[in-house]
This record gives sequence, C-alpha cells and structure tokens, in this order.
Amino acid sequence: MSVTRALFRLYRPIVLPFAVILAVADLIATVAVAQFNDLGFSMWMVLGGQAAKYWILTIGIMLVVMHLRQFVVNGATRHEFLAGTAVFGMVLAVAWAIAIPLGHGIESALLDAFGRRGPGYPVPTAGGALREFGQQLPISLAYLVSGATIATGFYRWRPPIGLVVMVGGAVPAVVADWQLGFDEWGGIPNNLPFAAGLALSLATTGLVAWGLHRAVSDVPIRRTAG
Amino acid sequence: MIELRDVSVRYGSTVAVEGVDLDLPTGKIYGLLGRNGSGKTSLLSALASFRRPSSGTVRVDGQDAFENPAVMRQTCFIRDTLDTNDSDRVRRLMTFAGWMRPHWDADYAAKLLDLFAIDTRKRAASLSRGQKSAVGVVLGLAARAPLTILDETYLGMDAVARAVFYRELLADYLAHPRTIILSTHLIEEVADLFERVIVIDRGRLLLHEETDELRGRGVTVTGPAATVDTFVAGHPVLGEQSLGGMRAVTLDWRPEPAEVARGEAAGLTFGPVGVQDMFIHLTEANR
Repeated sequence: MSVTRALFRLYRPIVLPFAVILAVADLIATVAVAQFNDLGFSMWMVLGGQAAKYWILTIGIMLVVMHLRQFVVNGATRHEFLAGTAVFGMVLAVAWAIAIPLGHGIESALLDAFGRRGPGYPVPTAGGALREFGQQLPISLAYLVSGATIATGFYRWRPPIGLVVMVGGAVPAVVADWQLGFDEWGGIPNNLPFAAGLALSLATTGLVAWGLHRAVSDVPIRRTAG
Repeated sequence: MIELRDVSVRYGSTVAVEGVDLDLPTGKIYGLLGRNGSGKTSLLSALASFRRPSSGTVRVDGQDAFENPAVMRQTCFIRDTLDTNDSDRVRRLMTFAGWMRPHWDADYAAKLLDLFAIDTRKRAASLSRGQKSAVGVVLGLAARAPLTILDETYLGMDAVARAVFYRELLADYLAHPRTIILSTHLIEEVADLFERVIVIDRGRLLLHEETDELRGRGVTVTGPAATVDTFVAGHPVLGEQSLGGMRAVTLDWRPEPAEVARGEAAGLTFGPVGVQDMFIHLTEANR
C-alpha cells in the first residue's frame, strides 16, 4: 500500500469527526449568538478559517513525530514518506480550502432563511468564494509545512537547534497569517495586494518545504521523538 | 549478497563503528555478537538504512541500500525498543504492518500473538517489557522480509516465551528461507541457531566465521588438575573451572589427533568449546 493511501486510512477516523465537530460547534455557537442578535459576522470564518489552521499545524507535527518512524520501520523510504505526505497534505489543504467558502455559503443561507443575518454579515459572492479559497489553501499548506518543520527540528537535532529550527519553521505560518489571514468578516487585514501576498506566502512555504525535505531525506530513525 | 564496505558510523566525536567490511551471503542465520557499546545496533541501523553510514557503503544484491525502495521494503529491522507509538493498539500495529509489508502473513501473526498470549486490544504503552519484545518478534517474523534483523528482541521475555521465539524462528526460517541476523547477549541460548557468527568489538569487526568452524577452533580439556595443567601448558586458555581435584580448561587451540590420543591415555577427556566461551576470550583479548 502506498504511503498516501495508508495516511488517508490512518487519518480517516480523525479528519471526518473533526469536520463534523467543527460544523456542529459552528451551528451551536451561531444559534446561541443569534438568540440575542442578528449575526453581523461569520462564525464559520472564526472557527473554520481562524481556528482550524491550528489543527492543520498539529497534523504537520504528528506526521513527523508519530508517522515518519512508523512508515520507515515498516519499509518505506524517507522519500516515499515525504512524497506521500505531500499528496496527503495537498488533498487535505484543498479539501479544507473548498470547505471554507462552502461552509460560509451554507451558514449564510441558513441565517438568511431564519432571518438572523445581520447587516454587517459578509454575504458570500462568487468572487468572494474564490478569494476565500485562495486565502485558505496557502494558509493550510503553510501551517502544515510549519508543523512538520518544527517537529523535524526537535526530531533530528538537539533541543537548542530544534528551537532555532522552530523559529524558521514558523515563518510560513506567520507570513500566511500576516498576508492572507481571515478576520471574522472574511477580509484580509494585509499590507500587500492579494496576488503579492499570495506569492510571498507560497514562496515562503515552498522554501521551508525544501528545507524540510533536506532535513528529512537522511534523518536517522530514532527510537523516540526529541 | 549483503556487502558492507568500510562502513563507519559516528555520533559527533564518538566512533560507534569503524571501517567494517563484511560479505554476508543471503539465506543464512547470522549471530551478531558484541559487548555492550560495541556498535552492534549502530551497524545494524546502517544495514537497515535507519541511519546513513558516516562513510562506506551498504549494498544488498548489488544495489545501494540507503533510501532504496526495493531494498528497504524487503528489510525488516526490529529493535529492542518497540518502534511504535505508545497509543497504538497491538491490533493496529499488525494491521499497519499488513498494509506496508509485501510478504506479511496475517494468519501467522495471529498465531504468534496467540502463542505469546498477547491481547491485541492492548495499547503499546500498557504492554510489559517482555510483551513488547514478543510483539517485536511477531512483527519481525510475520513480515517474512528477505532480510530480517532482530536486535536483542528477547529483552524481558521469560524462558517460555524465549523458547517459543527460538522454536518459531527456526521453523519459519526452514519453511520460508531468508537472511536473518540476530543480535544477542544470550549467546549459549541461541548459538545452535547460528549458521555464521559475527563478532564486533569497539566498533571493529573481530571475527566472521561459520559457527562450526568457530566451535572447532578450540577444545575443552577435562581431567585431574595436574594432568590438565601439564597438557594445556603453553596454549591460550579461554577459561577454566576446578572442582575438587578435577579441572576443566577451555583452549583456543585445536590439538592434533595424536595429542588427543596421548591426553586420553593420560585420563583426559576432550569436548567442544561453546560459542560464548570463544566470544568471551576474543573480546577480552582485544582489550
């Protein structure tokens, strides 16, 4: 079985319940707030856009800390593992980038149907959906790469070096947030034009991903992480 | 053929393995012996591509082993510490190995787990030391990897479990011949399984011989103390034991038939040397 397929099998019981929990949490929180006020912001943007990226960061960490060793001791090469995680991570990132505008649209439609959509609520549009996809995809990729790089720093090297790697590893996440991060209205509180911010984020993520590949490609398989 | 050429493994300024050259024909059971800290695990880690050698090459059937999918998929290295996540249940470990190992035999794994009385619902963290070793044995044997490396996988196993391990190892090897490398400190317990013995000390290769040849290198001379002392004088002594007026001396020397006949006429008896005695002598002499 390929590494990608095995990863999907391993993470299926984690990813699907998480998506359901997030949707239920959004529903409960939205209903709770809507009891008192019309909703003037998107709860989905807060939960799915602002909070879920930390879960993606955690997956990046888990991939290295829990699964790198597991795959190599069962006969996969490090390169196969990296290629498999890249495909897995890309599918996960694209899926979540689709879920963001989709969830926003559903949330908006439900609020509208129940007459609880406030005047400040960011009404979804086709262009807005495309922009949300374009924001979330690089954010997910950046957080995944950051998580994996931070974990690799501590897996491969001693803690002092791991701390240094952690700072460098966090750069994709920081840049993605800085240039593309969501606010509760789906906006981008950035300084650069979207295209430039997107390019900067992807370039940073790509550069750190290249370093991650270099660090993992011949990493000794230790008995325990850290 | 497994070929190691000038393989060294260093950790910073510490040299764990230095300039090891080995040719290991496939389809045999090897015993890898060495004292604590002699570099056994480092050597095996390089062989299994768990670690890139600091210098030198490891080739399996003519191909470089490190990061070679064709080689790594056919290699199974079980370390003394079970390479799993503590939260994993035994059942999950077996399933995962089944996904990844091309020759995995799930029925055989289930049989071994039953023999070792391992509850597959248990998490790795809740297994005893001996149970973890048993799970390692199951993962190693049921993988049926053409190159199977077991590094002190007996740790914590009781005598019954170890006997089951040795019996199953031999039976499965005979049914599915492959290359097996066993690293162990319980030399006498498993010496009968070894077809070849490799001894390393302080990171260097001391010996690589057929087990029978190794045994044939020496002899144990038993008899009246004075007669034994006279007979063994001038020959390298591996060890000696005395009880009352009797003495048994193990020699790293093979007497000629005429000398054996002369000794027997003087009341001496001659027996084979254990692999462990030879190992002790070789590694002590190297220090």
